[in-house]
Amino acid sequence: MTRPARLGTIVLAIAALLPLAALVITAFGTTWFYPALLPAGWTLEGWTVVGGGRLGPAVATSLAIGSAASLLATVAAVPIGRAIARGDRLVARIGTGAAFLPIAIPPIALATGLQLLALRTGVGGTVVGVVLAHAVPALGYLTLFFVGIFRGVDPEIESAAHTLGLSPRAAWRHVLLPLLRRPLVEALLLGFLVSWAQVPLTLLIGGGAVRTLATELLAYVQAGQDRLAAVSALLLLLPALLALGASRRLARTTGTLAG
Amino acid sequence: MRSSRPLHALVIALVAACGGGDRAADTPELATMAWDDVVAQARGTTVTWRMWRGDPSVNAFVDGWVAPRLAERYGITLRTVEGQGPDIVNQLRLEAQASARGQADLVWINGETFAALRRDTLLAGPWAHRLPNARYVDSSSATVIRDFERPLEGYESPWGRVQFALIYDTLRTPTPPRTVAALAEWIRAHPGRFTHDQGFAGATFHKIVLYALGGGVATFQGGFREATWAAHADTLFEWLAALRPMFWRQGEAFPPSVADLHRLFANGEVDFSMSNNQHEVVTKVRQGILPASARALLLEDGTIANTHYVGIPANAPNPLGAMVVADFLLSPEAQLEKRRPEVWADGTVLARDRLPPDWAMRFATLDTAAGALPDSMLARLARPEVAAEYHDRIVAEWRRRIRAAP
Amino acid sequence: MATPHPRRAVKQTSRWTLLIAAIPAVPALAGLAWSVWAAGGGLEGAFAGRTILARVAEPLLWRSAAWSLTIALVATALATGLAIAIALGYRGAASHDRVARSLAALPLPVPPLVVGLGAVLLLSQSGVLARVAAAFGWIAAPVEMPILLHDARGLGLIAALAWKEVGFLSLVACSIVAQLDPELAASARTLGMPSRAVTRRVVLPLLWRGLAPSVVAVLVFVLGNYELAALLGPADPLPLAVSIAERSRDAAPGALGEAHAAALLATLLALLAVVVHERPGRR
Repeated sequence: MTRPARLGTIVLAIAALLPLAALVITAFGTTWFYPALLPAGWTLEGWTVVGGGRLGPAVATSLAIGSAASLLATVAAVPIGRAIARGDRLVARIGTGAAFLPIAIPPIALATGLQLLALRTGVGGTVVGVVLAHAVPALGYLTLFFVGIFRGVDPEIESAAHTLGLSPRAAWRHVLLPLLRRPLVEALLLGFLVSWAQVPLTLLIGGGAVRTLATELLAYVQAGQDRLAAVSALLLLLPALLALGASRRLARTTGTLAG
Repeated sequence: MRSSRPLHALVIALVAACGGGDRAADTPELATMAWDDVVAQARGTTVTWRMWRGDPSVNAFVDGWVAPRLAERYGITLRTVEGQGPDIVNQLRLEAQASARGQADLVWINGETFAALRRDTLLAGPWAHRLPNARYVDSSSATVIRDFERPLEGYESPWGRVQFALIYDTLRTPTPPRTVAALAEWIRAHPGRFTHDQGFAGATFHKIVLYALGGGVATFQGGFREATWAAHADTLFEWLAALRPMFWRQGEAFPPSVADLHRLFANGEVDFSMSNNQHEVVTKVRQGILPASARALLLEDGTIANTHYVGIPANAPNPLGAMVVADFLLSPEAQLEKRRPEVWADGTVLARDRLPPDWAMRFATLDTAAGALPDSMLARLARPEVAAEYHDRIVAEWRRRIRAAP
Repeated sequence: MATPHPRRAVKQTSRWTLLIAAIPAVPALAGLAWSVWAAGGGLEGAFAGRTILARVAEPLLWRSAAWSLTIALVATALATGLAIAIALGYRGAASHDRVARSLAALPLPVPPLVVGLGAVLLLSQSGVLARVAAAFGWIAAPVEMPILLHDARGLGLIAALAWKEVGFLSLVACSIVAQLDPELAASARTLGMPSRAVTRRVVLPLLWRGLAPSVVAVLVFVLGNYELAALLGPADPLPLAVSIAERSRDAAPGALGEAHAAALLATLLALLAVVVHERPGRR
């Protein structure tokens, strides 16, 4: 390996890992002031907040909201994505544009508009409202995802099934669903991650009543509670890292990842 | 369109669902209903309390001490929800506009929030004066019975009291300055070692300097007067402008919030921090956020004492339950527990001489933690808040004259 | 039903399909409609189109918008440059190449909030970087550390945004490079083109073409991000996303309407970025 390349790898390693190391140290350290490179001591005190404090319920809320929003968005995205993939050019353009809209609009801007909508429909400040709000950008991402999936699925397969006499429902169950099994899992995961780390939508539509792990993290950082913030950050990081590891391993074993 | 009928019906149903959320409180006679009836009707209900949830100590007190006792004694389930002043005002405004169902029964407020809510008639009342425990309240104290000089008129019930204090490090600054003038001298002698935040604590600091330079708080009492403001604003801003080059970073940057200021102080970048709560230094030391040698400091010119209150929104679904909670918060038992240094150390709004003797004794013998300031000193140096307009002017002028200027 | 006329049948399907295809946009459009109403004074009881224009034209708002846009462009350019360098520099199959690519992609799953906390811990004047610098003797006190957070130059914010987006962009860039037809580069080389020129004239344009949609997506994301701007940005000029949030929490009458006007401006900018990308590159 050439010198600059080796140096580059070292720089990459430091840049990628140093922030995470700082988080871990802050989460487990006691007082840590300048110029100390390591904390004065170590403690698990930050983690007791998880079990017996605010973080536990917040994590549960995040899990519930993430699952519900993801499920909702996935169920809707499959038929929508398929319709767009099978449609003509006009449908394709409108479809992708429509799916892009909730993603392109800055979340904080989307949140202000949805906040008024939520208040008028009575779901402002409720978990249901936040679930629906999270489903909005999730639906955008997942629609695009399924458009891609269905474009890769040969439409001939469906018409072949139809010619062979299968009813549409049977065609779904026996032909499409097996093909969609892995994409469905990926979609549920993707939708979950979109909701899990969401901040502006939860803040504005939840109105402070709905506390997720992400909003707790923001509150801790702004209140200067670094240790609790670091603990929350590590928890927030966990599902995404797990998902990434799992999908890479899956992809490598099925040979779909280049190196 | 042919098969649009189900869609049509759905839309109609949704629209119909939108408009029917108005559950305006039946306006029970909050002020005249017999207390036993209030308690009886509140039993078995849930009270939603919007409060600031940023301090673990406060949360522990409310969730771990207040809530179980409410459940046990009054059968009330307490549900706390995050919300600070401006959020609460906006939420109540939007709910009133949309005729939406009210969501909060009790709100933790003071100052401008109270003024804004009263102006928009978003608070229920009057009710606070008829609480059984209200007879113990220190109504002789100007800081308690007037919120930024606005009379309470029974629309909010006092809950606790805090006082502004500087924070210094006994190791770095063994002999800290004790007056505003001495502070100015200290800043000149130690360039780059002092600053203030851009938030509420910094604004309070400005107000204290304003009082000190203007000859005391009496100059500014009695409502906002343009003439008084014009006469003293320049003095304050000339003081700040003259010292600015000696501030941290030559005054070209100010920490956005008091939490950032604490970080600067803890890491040795500046030698002073500040807080609107004189006890915050003790809790932050315990949490490891401030160094163990940090202490609170009151200036002899006086520091601003601030009472905080609870109010009941006009559209509260459960105002009776909220009143019971407010009354419990006002009880000597709850006030004492809140005052404990290891709990929250939030000052009490009760008058020692109005309490039954055994309670008065318990307050008097309360252990104070190392680093906590004695009550007598706090009382001596307490200054009330003046009209909220002064606060708004200071903030706006500071942004215009100092932050925006190079 | 009797066999429908073929053209009419296709049209009917299309109409339904069009509706279905448009569903993902419906909540966002409804929200936008409410924002237009509120920005025009609907919350104060008197809607007027003029009000929207007046609010959107507010100079302070444009200052925020200009600042946010600049930061977004710089951060995106930085991330793109780094991603391309990584994709080209580590495109082999050797293990060290794979390690480098994995490291570069590590920021991808990290939520922006977490990036923000990491940045605060590392980049504040008495943060980890400052302490390392002090340990090496490069600075003597925190005050000598360059100011990276909460100031108008936004260096820390740019760094954090770029760090986060290199994860995504490098992943896309690497997979594009991996899928490039090796024949193209090989044939260019047999024609006598030196290796570096091959990279510049053949690989780079192809890489850029494939990367462009992702770069636009990154720009839009960075422009609209709230968390990092709130944690790392200055108070003056206020980042656009933070301005929206603060106005929506300001209790002064009319502030909420201003928040919606600011939201409309932010939406306009983001959609503009998408449109600018879409228009010329119609393949």
